[in-house]
Amino acid sequence: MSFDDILLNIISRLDGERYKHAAFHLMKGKRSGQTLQDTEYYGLHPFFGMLPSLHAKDFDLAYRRLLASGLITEKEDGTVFLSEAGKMRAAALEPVRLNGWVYRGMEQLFFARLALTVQTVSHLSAGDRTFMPVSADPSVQRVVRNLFATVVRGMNPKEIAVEIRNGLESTGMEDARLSRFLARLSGKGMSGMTWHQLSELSGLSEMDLKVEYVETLHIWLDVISEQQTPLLVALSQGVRAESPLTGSAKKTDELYRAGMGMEEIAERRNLKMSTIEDHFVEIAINDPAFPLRKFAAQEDIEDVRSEAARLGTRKLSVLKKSFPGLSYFQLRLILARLGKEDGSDGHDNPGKPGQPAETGHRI
Amino acid sequence: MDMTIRENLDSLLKRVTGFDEFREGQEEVIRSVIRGRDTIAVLPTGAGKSLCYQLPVYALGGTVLIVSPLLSLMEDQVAQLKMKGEKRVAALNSYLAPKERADVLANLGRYRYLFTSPEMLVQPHISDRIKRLRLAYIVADEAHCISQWGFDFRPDYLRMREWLGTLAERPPVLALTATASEKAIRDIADYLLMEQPELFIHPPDRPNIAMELLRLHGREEKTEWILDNLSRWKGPGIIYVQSRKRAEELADLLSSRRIRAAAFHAGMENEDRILVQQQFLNGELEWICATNAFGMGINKPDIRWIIHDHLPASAAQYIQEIGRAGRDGGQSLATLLYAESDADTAAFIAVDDLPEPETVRFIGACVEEGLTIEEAGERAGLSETALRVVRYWLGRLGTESAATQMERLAEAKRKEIFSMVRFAEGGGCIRSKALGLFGYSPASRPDQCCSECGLVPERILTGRTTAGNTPGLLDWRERIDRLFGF
Ligand SMILES: Nc1ncnc2c1ncn2[C@@H]1O[C@H](COP(=O)(O)OP(=O)(O)OP(=O)(O)O)[C@@H](O)[C@H]1O
Ligand SMILES: [Mg+2]
Ligand SMILES: [Zn+2]
Repeated sequence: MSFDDILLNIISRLDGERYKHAAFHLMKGKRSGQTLQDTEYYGLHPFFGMLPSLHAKDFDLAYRRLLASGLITEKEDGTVFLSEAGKMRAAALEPVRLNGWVYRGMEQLFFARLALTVQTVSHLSAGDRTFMPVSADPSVQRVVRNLFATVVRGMNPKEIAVEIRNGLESTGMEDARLSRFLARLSGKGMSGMTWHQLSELSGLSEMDLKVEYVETLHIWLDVISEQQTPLLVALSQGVRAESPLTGSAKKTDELYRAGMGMEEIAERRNLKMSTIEDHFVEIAINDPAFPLRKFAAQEDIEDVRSEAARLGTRKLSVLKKSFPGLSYFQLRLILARLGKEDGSDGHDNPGKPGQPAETGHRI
Repeated sequence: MDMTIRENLDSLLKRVTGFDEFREGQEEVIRSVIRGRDTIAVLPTGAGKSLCYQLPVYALGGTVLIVSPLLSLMEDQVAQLKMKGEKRVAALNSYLAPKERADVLANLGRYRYLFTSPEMLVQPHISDRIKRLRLAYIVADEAHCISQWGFDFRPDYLRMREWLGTLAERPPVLALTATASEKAIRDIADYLLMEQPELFIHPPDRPNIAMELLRLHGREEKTEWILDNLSRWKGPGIIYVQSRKRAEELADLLSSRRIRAAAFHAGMENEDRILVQQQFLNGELEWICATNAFGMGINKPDIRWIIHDHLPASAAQYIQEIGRAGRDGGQSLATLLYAESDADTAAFIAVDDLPEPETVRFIGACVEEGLTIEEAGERAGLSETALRVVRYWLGRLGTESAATQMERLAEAKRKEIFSMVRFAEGGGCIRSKALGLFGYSPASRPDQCCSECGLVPERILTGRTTAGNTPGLLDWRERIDRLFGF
């Protein structure tokens, strides 16, 4: 799927409720309360953190292309929604196979390790012990060095090649795509291609290539975690996020579980109250046992739920008007638990544009 | 006595590097370091300065601390040592993830070579750890940076002086560079707190690099000249350009003429930069169109041609950049394409990043009102480098003197550019003029000296016979087979 289509896909889910920045932060995997909340509400898990080093410039270009082609429009308040043509296009899109929520940019680490391993085997089997490593990252170098003392030690180049080849074969991805993917690998007398070079050769834009590459890695990594072949499993060690909470929210969660109140945590951690609130929203999103009733009356919770359903919105500003007596924080918590407690409002198909994805992408 | 050291050094050289004999200049420098003397070695590009700091530690034991001004240079040096099988080497720089940094810090004593940047050195927790090491000696590679950038863009380099001053027992210091005028040598000795250093000075002359100077009218004409000449003669070579955009433009134009070229600049992803460098070293690319992000430390032996599409900001930079050519000793060429308008561009860019005196006063006032210097910098819209400059000088001199210091810095830069402009305007032997910028004159005139003395291109470059063909995209299964050598 092209970058523009990915963006259209995201906007179709946020339809009319968010500004363009929401999509940008989502793709970059910003760990803010708002982005995490959006991810959850709108089922955007596949896209979260898919391009951590996305430049605002590239994003804006794509956004403007969508505007210019009439697929999306901005309302007066700046929120963005799909036109009829946009809706038709979005409905016809293939399901995305990204799995950003689980990998969060760590797939790059897997690729760096793979590339260094292949490069090393390639040179060693040609009798060359001196080469410039394709990854200058010391942590990547260390992992690969350890692999060569363990897993790789008992394998000959043929076995390594076969494992990689069979692994890719079993993902069922098309050949042309895999050829573009593997063009990034280097070996003896044969360097990988830069994005620019690959773009010239394939006729695809650099952005589209990068999106395809990330998706290819996600697809492959998902398959690897099922197949458990020795080398590929070792290379993908630690690339799946263990806890859905970000580092800082995790700390807050621990203190909360240890019996501290919000103010106390803010003081102890020397953080602003708004940050602690963000953490609580994040915890509420992820913790099935979150004690929502300690933060709002059951009656209010139910009222907000039915109002949100009636208006068909999860927009805070809209709901706040109906419930001036509740704080934004309370509303956010209630929304965070929406559809997760008894009488859940259910979830829809994964990866289908226009509707929240199933939470199967969550950890 | 002398005889045995000599024998030892020769066998040490053989054992550590596999080389049979020292190149000119190396042995004296190494001896001086082993004797425990502060040493300044000025040896031409490609002369083998790295060896001068790599070898003495085998005679002395302990750890060598190498302070490098550029991260990319540091990475290259570390990679090159590792390639030679050296395991006891590490770089302590801002690229490291916290965990990696902790790892390196925990194992400091084990390293034979420890590379770091001036910025790291002034952080107390790192500095304290390093002080507890048994340091054999301290190396400042590319030491001309101390005086070239020291006064403006690299204030942290100046802090190295303060750091050296805090060492209870300072080990000897070795400064290495290819380009240093007398004044620069004094600056180096001063800033590295050297005591009566031993000086080993060789002019930065590279007789196997013929020098060519061409006056053209503007960018279009340069583009045409480059396309025309690169279709006739072969590289490998580097075209140095002013901007990222120009690097990409030229690389694309060359590629479209089936000359294998790629751009290299700081705006590219790190992985892509490594790939371009690798392709170039492998001979898969013939030309690199680069900003000054590419160069220092690059050690590809058979580069035949360096072209400058713009006027370098200083004589040192120019000599460093053309010094990438002919490191195998083979005949090579350096061409400077000069258009009159280049002078203004170069001058503009050189002082562009330097804060105005007024800005410094504004920031001084903000700080007095209780803002942090970062907040003040943000208000004034300063870049990160500019802020570093201001922070350093404000801290040292106070507002008013720091403001006038900015004027002095700008003046020094303009002067540097001006001498480059005079150089580029030509007249007389180019080699003599280039060396003259550092206060030297050539020892002898090589056969292919310069375009003023007369050049025969056929005797320098190889003609291009066939156009290269760009390989297509390999089928992925075949690529795996080839990568694994099947
Ligand atoms: N004694 C020697 N015999 C043979 N080759 C040598 C010797 N000393 C150094 N070399 C080789 O010369 C090349 C250039 O060395 P090096 O990179 O140290 O140059 P340099 O003086 O640091 O140049 P620059 O100023 O450009 O950084 C290297 O490939 C190195 O291995
Ligand atoms: Mg050097
Ligand atoms: Zn001459």
